[in-house]
Amino acid sequence: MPTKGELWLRNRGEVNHDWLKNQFGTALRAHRNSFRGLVTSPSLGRESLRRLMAEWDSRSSEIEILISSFEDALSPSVLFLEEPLRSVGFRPEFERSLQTLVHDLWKRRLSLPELVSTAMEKLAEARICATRLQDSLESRKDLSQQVLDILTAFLGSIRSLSEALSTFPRKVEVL
Amino acid sequence: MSSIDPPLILVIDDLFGRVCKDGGNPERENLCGQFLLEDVSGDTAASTSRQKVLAPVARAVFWRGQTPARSGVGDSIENDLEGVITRTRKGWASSSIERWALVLVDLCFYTGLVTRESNARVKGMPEGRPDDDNPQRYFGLRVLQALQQELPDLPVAVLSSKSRDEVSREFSLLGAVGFVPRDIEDAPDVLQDFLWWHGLIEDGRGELVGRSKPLLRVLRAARRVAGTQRNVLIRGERGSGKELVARYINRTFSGKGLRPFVVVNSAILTPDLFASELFGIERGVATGVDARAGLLRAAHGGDLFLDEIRDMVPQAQAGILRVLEDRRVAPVGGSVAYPVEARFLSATNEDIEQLASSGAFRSDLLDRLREGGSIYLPRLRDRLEDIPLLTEHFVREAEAANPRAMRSEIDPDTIALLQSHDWPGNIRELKSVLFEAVADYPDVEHLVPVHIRLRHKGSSSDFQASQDLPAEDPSLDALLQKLMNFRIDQLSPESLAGRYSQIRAGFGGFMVRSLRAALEATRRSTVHAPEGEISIHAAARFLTGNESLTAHQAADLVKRIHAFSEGCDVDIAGDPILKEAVETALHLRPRNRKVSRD
Repeated sequence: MPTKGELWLRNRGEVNHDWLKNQFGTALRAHRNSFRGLVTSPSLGRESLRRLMAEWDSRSSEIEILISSFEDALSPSVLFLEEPLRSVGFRPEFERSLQTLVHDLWKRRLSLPELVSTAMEKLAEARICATRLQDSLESRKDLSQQVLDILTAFLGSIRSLSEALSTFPRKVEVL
Repeated sequence: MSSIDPPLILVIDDLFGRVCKDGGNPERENLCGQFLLEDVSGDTAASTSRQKVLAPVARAVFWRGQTPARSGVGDSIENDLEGVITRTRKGWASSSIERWALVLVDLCFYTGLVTRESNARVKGMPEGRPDDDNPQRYFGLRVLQALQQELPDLPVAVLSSKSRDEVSREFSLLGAVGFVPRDIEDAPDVLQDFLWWHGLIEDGRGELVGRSKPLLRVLRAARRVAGTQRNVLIRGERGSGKELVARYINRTFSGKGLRPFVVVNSAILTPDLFASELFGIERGVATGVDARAGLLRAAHGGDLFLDEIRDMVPQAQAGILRVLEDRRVAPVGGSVAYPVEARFLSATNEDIEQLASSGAFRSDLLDRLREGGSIYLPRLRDRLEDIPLLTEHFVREAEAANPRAMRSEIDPDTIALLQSHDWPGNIRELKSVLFEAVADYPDVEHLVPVHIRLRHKGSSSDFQASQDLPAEDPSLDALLQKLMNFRIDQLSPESLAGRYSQIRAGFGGFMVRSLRAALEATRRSTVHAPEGEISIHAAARFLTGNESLTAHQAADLVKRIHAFSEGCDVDIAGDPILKEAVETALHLRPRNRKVSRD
């Protein structure tokens, strides 16, 4: 049975590495090159980009949950639930105070509030770009250049988001 | 590779290399769309794709690096290091097929079972095991290590969406030339830059023909210096293509626009002429003299190719050094100096450092001429694998230049013959031999060995010496002359001390080669062996000039030569003709091992 921390790390890998970078980002860049006239393919066009953006809507919610659940999942306070600390036999109130101390120190040394707020900001920026892109895709006018510009801006924003997600630690540790 | 084909790369990646059960790979299509790659993997994912990249940066073969390559729910995916090496070697070890210009390796390869859930996330991809995503245990690093050990001169780069920082030391230690992030905005430009700088790419124009590693390395070195304005020294034997390399550098500078390319034969820069030739001359300096800009000003904004710099007289050396320092030239008889911004591409086939240290060439000039480094051209005998392509190229060129010539098929035996020669005159000699063959036999459909006239055998120094001799077979004459002049008895005992084993090996080699030549010369066709049978009896008579030599005496002679050849550089056991001769001699009469006590 994986721990909360292991599950969070696995989810981040799936969302950030497997989906955001390898699938979504790659597909968006292929679409951009298609709009630039460098690639032709029946699977690259306005309609396929629209479908791709629908995927973003559901995945961006997952990313939001991922960011907000980091503190709970990766806090070193969980170490008190595992061996060897579990068997030490601390008095409950002492253990709670130790847990709080370890957690607060970890938060401070990691600058966790900044880490989380930066990631949330990047997500918000990406959502704004995504909405603009979806709006322009819905337009009936020929907005090729406009789509291209917004798509480029969106790619920049999801890259920043991906970088922000990568800055979260990759294991439970006492800092 | 034709002149328009982009370079060929190998991409080793679990996601982009896999084939889904339905035969496709949408992620690969998107990657090709992002990096502008033409998928030439030859699998169903490539053949079912309807995507077209209009101006591909590269042609890519994708390889999963895992088994099975085609996967769906229920399959267990395992990494396959041996398969990776085998596939990579296939496109690297032989120049009979196009070589990888660059290999890109992913870092994280997911293994384990393909479950319904993992398949729903990404078709054909497994769940993954905890260690797959551990930077210390990335399979991609193991691939890099194995490639470094097995194919050390292969250019390999990492292609990953993982963090570069986590593995930067590891991939450097494992010989990777760099890291291409997968999630970059200007992916095609970055890949193109990597190919330009690190890739082993053929000359797209087909002027420097071949795909042997030594030649591809020269082209890479030339591309690297092409983007700078620094002077370069090009070194190589006569006929190895130094001027072609200089032209390649000239035309690949920044890859855009034409730049002047001026060729100067250093031998024409005599003390009387060098100044007017190089710097130009004003009108009226002497009666009837017209103004001339000179070669240096003609090269302004481009490249000046100084061929065979060792032939340059000291006055010319001083003049060129001054131009390199001042970047200005004043024509003879003129008072105005003109700016000259030209790169000097110099060539030599000599040990120019030796000439500089002996004072025969200015060392300060040498330093300036090689400030951007030296490029060493391989000898043709060191890139014999290029002979099929070169032969095809020169034969077609000769046919195009000869209205009478038919298009001829090049016989494999002709290639074998050409590859057995050591080409002391390098590419120029090969070209000349093939042009001669086409000129002599324009009315045949097959170019076969009898059409080929090889002019000489032996080392390049024999070739040089033989060029001065008027005899019909110059290399043999030169060799005989050298042998007759070789007075070992006149050498001082000090100079021979401790070197008898080398001298003996030298003579042993000479005698074995003489025997081999005699065996070839006396070979006779028979009903059973139309290609000819060797005869040690005939060969021994031929060698000694003694027609009354018996078969047993011939066998003794062969055995003595065999015994004397110990330590020489001829591999008798590896040469079918010599091996047969020795075995025949031993069979005819066992060697008398008695030691005479006389």
